[in-house]
Amino acid sequence: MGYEEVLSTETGILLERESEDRFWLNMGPQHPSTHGVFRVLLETEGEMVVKVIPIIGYLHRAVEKLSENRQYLGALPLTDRMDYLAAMFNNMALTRSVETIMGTEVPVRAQWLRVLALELNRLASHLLFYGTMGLDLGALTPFFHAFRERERVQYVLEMMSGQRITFNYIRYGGVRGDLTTGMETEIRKFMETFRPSLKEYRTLLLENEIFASRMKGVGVAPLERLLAYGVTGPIARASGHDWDLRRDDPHDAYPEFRFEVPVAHESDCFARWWVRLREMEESAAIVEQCLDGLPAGEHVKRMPFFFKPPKGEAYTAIETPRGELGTYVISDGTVFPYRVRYRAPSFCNLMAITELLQGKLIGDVVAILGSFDPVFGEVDR
Amino acid sequence: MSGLLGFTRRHPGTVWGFAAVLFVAFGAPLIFPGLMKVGNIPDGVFASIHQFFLDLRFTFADRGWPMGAWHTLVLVSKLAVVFLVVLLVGAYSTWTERKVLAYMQDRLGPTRVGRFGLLQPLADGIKLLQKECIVPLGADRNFHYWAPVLVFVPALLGTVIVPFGRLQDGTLMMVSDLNVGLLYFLSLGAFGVLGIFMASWGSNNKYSAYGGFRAVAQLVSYEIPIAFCVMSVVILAGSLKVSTVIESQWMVYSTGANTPAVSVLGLPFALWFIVPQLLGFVVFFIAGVAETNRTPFDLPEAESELVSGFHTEFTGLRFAFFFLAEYVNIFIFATLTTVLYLGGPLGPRIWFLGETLSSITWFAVKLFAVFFTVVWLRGSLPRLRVDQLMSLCWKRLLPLSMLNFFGTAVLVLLVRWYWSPAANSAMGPIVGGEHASGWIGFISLLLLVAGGVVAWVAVERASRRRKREASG
Repeated sequence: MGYEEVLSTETGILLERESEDRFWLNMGPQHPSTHGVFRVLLETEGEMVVKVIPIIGYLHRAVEKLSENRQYLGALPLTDRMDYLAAMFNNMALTRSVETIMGTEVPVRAQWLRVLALELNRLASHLLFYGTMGLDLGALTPFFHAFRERERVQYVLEMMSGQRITFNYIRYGGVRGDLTTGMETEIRKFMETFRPSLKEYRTLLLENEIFASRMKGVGVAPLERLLAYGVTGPIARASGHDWDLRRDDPHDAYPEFRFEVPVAHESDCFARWWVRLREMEESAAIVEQCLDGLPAGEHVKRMPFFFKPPKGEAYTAIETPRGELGTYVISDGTVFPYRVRYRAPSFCNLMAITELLQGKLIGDVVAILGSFDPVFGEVDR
Repeated sequence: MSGLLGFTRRHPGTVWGFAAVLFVAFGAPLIFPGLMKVGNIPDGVFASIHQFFLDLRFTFADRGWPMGAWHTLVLVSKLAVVFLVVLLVGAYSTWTERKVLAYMQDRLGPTRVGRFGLLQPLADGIKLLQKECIVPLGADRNFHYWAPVLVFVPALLGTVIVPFGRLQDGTLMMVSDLNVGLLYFLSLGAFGVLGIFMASWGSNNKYSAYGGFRAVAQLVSYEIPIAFCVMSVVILAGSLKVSTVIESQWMVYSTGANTPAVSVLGLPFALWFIVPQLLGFVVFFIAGVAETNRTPFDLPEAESELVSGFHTEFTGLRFAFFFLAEYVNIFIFATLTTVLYLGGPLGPRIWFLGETLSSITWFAVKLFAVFFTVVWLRGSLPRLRVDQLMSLCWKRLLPLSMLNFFGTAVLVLLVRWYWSPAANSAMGPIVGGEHASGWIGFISLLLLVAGGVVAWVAVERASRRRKREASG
C-alpha cells in the first residue's frame, strides 16, 4: 500500500498517515483501562489493531538516582513508590540486597513476620487484579467484591505498618514493628472470611460463559517469546514456566512453608487470571501457617541509623505479585549506596505486550493489558 | 447462584436491604391498591377522568364545536400526563438501578440526598442543568446539537403505545391504541440509531466514532431478531394492535363488558404468550437488552475500551438527554416484554379471591421484574466482544427467532385449517369455544414448548461439555 509517514511532533514517533480505512487511536495516558499512565498508540483498521506503539515514562521519578543521594535507610521509602500495589515487596527487595552485602542475621520472628506481610500484600495486590480484570471486561461486581476483602487486608497492613499504601515496614535487620495480639486476631478474623470469599470469586467469574469467551484463547503468549522478553511471575507460570523464587530461591522463612506453585499451560488471558486466583489461595495458606507457627523473639535486629555496609555488591531477586523484582546494589563503604538498580518485573512483562496486541480487537487489547497487570510506578520508576 | 445474584452469605443485611428496596419501589403499591379487589382500575380517579373526557365529547357536540378539537384536547392531555410519568419513571429507574446494583455489590448506593437517597435523581438533574454544554473543537455543531434530541424524541415517542393499566370498561390507559402499534415500535427503534450516529460523527472524537460504528452495527443487527419475535406474537394474536395482543392472552379472564373472549389457538383457558413463545421470549429479551445498549451488550459506551463511546463529548443537559433516553428505552423495552409475553397490565384473578391487584400495580410489578433482570445482568456479567456480539446475533438469535417464527406460523395454520374449521373463514384471531379443537391445539402447543425445552437443554449440555473440556 505504501503509507506515507508523518512525524508526530508530540511523540517524536514516525506514524503512518491516516487514511479512510486506517487510523490511529491514542489510548492513554488518561484512559480508564490503561492501569495508570500507560499510553499506547494503536493503528486500527476498523476494530482491528494492526500496529502498536507503547509509550512509557509518564511516571518516571528517578527512584534509582535518588537512592544514590540518600543513606540506606532513606532509600527504603523511595521503593514504596515503585510498585505501589505491593510496597512490601519493594522494601523486601532492597532490604535483601543490602542485607546480603552486610551479611546480617535476621531474627527468626522477623523473618516470619516478613513472610506474613509479604503474603498479605500479595493478597491485596491480586485482589486488585481480580477486580480490575472484571472491570476491564465490563463486569462491575467483581471489582466491589474484591475491594471489600482488599479493604480488610489494607486495614491489617495498616495496623502492622502504620500506612495504607507506602508501608515502609520491612527494614534492614527485621521489620518495623512487632505483631501484637490485636493484629493477630484481626488477621485471623480476616482469614475466616477470606476462604468463602475466594469461593465467591470463583462462582462469579470462573463459571461465567461470557468471561470465559472473552479470556480463553485470547492473547496466547508462547513461553519462548515470554522468556526472550524476560517475563516472569504469574504470566510466565500461566505459560507453563514452573518458576517461583519463593520456592526456587527462597529468602527469610520461606523454606519453612508448604505451598504449591500453580502453573497453567494454556498461555492465554484466562490462564493468567486463573494462576493469580490460585496464588491467592496459596498465599492464604501461607498466612495461615504463619499465624499458627509464628515463633517468639525479637522482631528486629537493632541497627544504627546511619550504617556503612562493607565495600561490595549484590544482586538479589524476590518473587513479587508481578514477577521477579531484582535489586542490584553497589556499596562503596560509605553511608550512601554507590548505585541502586531495580529489575522491575512490570517493565519486562510490558515489553512482551506489543507483540501480543497486534492483530487483536480493541476489546482484546484491554483484556490482554489487564491480564498482564502492569504497575506503572514500577515500569517507569 | 448466590454468586450470580451478588448476595453474600456473610452479610445477611444485604438481603434485607434488598427486600427494603423492593418494598420501597413496589411494595407499597402492591399492598395498598391490592386491598381493592379488582384487576382493572376501579371506579376511582382514573375512571372519573375517563368519564370526564367522554362527557366532554357530548359537550363539544352540543356546542357544535368540531370533534377534531376534542380529539386534539384528549391527545394533548394524555401526552402531557404520559410524558411526565415516563420522565419520572425514567429518572427514578436510575435510582432503582443504583440501589439494586449497590446491594448486589455490597454497597449502599445513594443515601445522602433525601431519605434512602430518593431525591438523588432530582439532584442529578439539577446538576446537569447547571453544567455548560461543551462543544469540542472541530465538532460538527449542528450534529452535536441535534443528536441528543434525535435520540431522545424517538424514545419519548415510544411511550405512546405504553398501556399503563385498564379501566373497568376495558379501555386501556394509553395515549393511542394504534392499529399498527407494534410496527410503530419497530420503526422507532430504527429511528434512534440516527441520533446515536450523529452524536458519534459530530463529536470529532475517535472514541465517539468507534462507539457510533458499534452502535449502528449492533442496533441494526438486533432489530431483525426482535422483528421476528414480535411477528411471531402477532401471528398468535392476529393483530399489530397492543390491545388485541393483550386481550388474546386473557381469553377466559378478560370477559369484561366490551372485551370479546379471544383465545390463543382455541384454548379453553388464559395463557400468557411466554408459554407458547418461550423461545421467542428468550430471544426477544436478549436482543432487547442489546437494543437498549445494556450490559453485556453495552459496547457502544464501553467505558473500559471507548471511555464513554458515542456520548464521550457530551456534557450537561445534552448528556442528560442521552442518559434519560437510555432509561426511557429500557422502560419501553420492558413494556413491550410485558405486553408481548407477560399478559400486559392485567393480572390473574384467583377464583375464590376475585381479582388480585389493580392493573396499574400489575403493570408496575411486571415492568419491575423485567427491569430488575436487566439490572441483574449488569450486576453479574462482563461485556461481550464486538465479533462475539455480531456472531451471537447473526448465528444464534436470528436463526432461533426465524425457527420460532415459522414454527408458530405452521402451528397456527395447522390448528386453523384442520382443527378449527369454524374459525377458518375469519382473518381475525381464532375464537375459542370448541374445546376438542382447543385441546388438540394445546397438545401441539405442548409439543412446541417441549421442543423449546429440548433445544434449551441441548444448548446447556453442549456449553457444559465445553466448560468441562476447558477446565479438565
